[in-house]
Amino acid sequence: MGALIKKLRPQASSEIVISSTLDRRKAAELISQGKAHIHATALGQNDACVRVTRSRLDIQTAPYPWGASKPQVSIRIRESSQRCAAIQNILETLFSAERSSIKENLRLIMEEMSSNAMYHSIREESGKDLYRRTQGVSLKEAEAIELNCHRTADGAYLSVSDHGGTLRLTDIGKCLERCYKTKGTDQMEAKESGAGLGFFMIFENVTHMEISVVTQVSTTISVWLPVSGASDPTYFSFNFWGGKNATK
Amino acid sequence: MLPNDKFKFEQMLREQKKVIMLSGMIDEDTTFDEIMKLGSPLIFNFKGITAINSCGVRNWVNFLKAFGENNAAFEECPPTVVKQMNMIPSFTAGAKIASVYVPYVCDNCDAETMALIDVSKFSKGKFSVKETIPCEACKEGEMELDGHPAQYFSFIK
Ligand SMILES: [Zn+2]
Repeated sequence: MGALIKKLRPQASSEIVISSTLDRRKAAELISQGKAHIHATALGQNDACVRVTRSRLDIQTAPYPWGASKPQVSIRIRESSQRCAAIQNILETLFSAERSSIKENLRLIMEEMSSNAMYHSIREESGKDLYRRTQGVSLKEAEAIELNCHRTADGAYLSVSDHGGTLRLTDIGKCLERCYKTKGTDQMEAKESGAGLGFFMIFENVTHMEISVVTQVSTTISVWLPVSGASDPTYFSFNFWGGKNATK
Repeated sequence: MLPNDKFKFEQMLREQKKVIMLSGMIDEDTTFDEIMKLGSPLIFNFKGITAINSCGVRNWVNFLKAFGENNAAFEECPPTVVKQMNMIPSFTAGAKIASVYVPYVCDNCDAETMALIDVSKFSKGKFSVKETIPCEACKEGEMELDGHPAQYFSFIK
């Protein structure tokens, strides 16, 4: 095992982009070029999240510091009409004392994470989404999504899991790059698809984003964002794990 | 987005100008067909809008494109709308922005308030807004602008 880790380490390090001068637009470009691990940090290799990414690339599994705890609230959602109530429940349970701007931001992120999972994770054999955004959806029991939230000391850890496992790094890269290039305009045309704009909104508003895909089985998108103190726009991370033809 | 907080609108006349009072949330179920029939120009008052998701943004942008951005003016935009204006420039396109609400929070008692700011004379990088105002709730603390002014007004062209 030791020899294996030693052998993998140089390659693992080269797979991580670490920079103190990245903005999200540039990060989106790198994702569209196939980069799956991006850390915008001034701490370089000493950044706690970078260390986790590096160790995971070396086949060890470890949670990110922001995602180490069990969710305090976990809600299964099958009906699109239940989404608002589930999100409201989380806000009232864990964030009732926060200022309106924080709650609105959390609401938007949870709304986009959960609606993306409901409408874009289950696909037909042709690859098209099975459900349409323009109408309500009632997922089968086995397709229900799970919305989890943990309030950390200074932030919110949110995750949504689906049972599709269809998300690919290339899709994320394409949609983010398009959103930054056109500032959202050409995303508007595709009325019935369009996970892109929602994903862009999540990406713009969180500090850490981690996506784990077990192809054809499940996708979990986890994010962390601060709820106390100002967020530092120059500090963020993006990590994509798994997925067929996705990372290499 | 509060449950059952569905989108509604009402038409008003102010000095011979049609003002459309929008309220509730703008989402996948929101259509603007009825507003389209009212003709142009229109002033859109966003004060009652509680939330917008990405599908709602898409519906609004498509509507604005068909309606004609030059025939639209926005007023009383709350922070949830300003957030979309900043993130998605085509949300406003070339529409005239008359006023927006700016959120303040008290450093002493955590009270929140919103001040309506006329932005019609603001231009890119040239705007003035009070960074603090006295707190009416506790009468002791100062209310600070909740956010960075440059970021909050980045929708100004
Ligand atoms: Zn006060």
